[in-house]
Amino acid sequence: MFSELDPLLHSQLRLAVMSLLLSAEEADFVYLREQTGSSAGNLSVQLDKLVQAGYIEVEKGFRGKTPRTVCRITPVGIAAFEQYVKALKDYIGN
Amino acid sequence: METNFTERQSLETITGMIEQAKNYHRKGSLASYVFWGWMIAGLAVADFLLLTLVPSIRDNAHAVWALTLPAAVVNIFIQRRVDRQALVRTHINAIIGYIWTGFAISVWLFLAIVFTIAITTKTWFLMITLTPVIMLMLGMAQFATARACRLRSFLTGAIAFWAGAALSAACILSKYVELQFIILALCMILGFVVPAGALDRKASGDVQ
Repeated sequence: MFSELDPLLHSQLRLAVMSLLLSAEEADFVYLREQTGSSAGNLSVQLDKLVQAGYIEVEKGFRGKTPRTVCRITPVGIAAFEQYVKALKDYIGN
Repeated sequence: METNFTERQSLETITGMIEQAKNYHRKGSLASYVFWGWMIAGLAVADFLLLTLVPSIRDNAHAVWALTLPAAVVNIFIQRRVDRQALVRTHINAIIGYIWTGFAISVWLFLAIVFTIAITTKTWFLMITLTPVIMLMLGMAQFATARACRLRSFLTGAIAFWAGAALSAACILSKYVELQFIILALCMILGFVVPAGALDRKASGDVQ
């Protein structure tokens, strides 16, 4: 019996963002956009979905006069990611 | 669920992104490395020149090392600027930060211990261990950094520091004591400036 893959994480861009944030203490929106190669608009939409699920937190501020958005993965996000990877292993293993 | 996103693609995305994050480097993020590399190399060469070319101030030549104190203050500003510009702070960045903070504490404590013993016992013998021991500590910190970020050029730097420690000890035991400062200068350039420059050149080719 396979456990269901988390639909929120089973999306290329959201999964890419979660994987990047798992390797980082915090990451700038620009970094996520560069690394995933996504558009700013699409990335914003996907980040909002992850925030609503409590998987990440977003902090908006300023670096000098430039607006800055910093993202961090939450403990809930880490647990969800670990569960997703475990389910993924079961799928691939079988 | 996205129907066209398979489990295998999902796994590839995860491993690909984690690998990308590990290899990420932004140009200029090792400014502190470059600064300390040139600073210590410059001071070592200055010490060597004063010892060999200006015999009248030979006893005070080592005073040039007092410049490391204002340099530490300058480095705080450099590092603050780098931190402000950083787009990401990875766990590896944090670990490397702890390694070098530990190194700095160890060096300052070691200097305090050696100087305290020297002043209280009026025995200056321990002073000859300064360069080799600090280079051993540099080698250890550089080795840990190299393994944490899997960079071969930093590993070469660690080997240079260890070899430099052995060579400078050999200099101390020979009649060419002053040469230890030239060895230190070369090791600082090989261990700090060269790897940081190589990483910056690589970063110039990456998306910034």
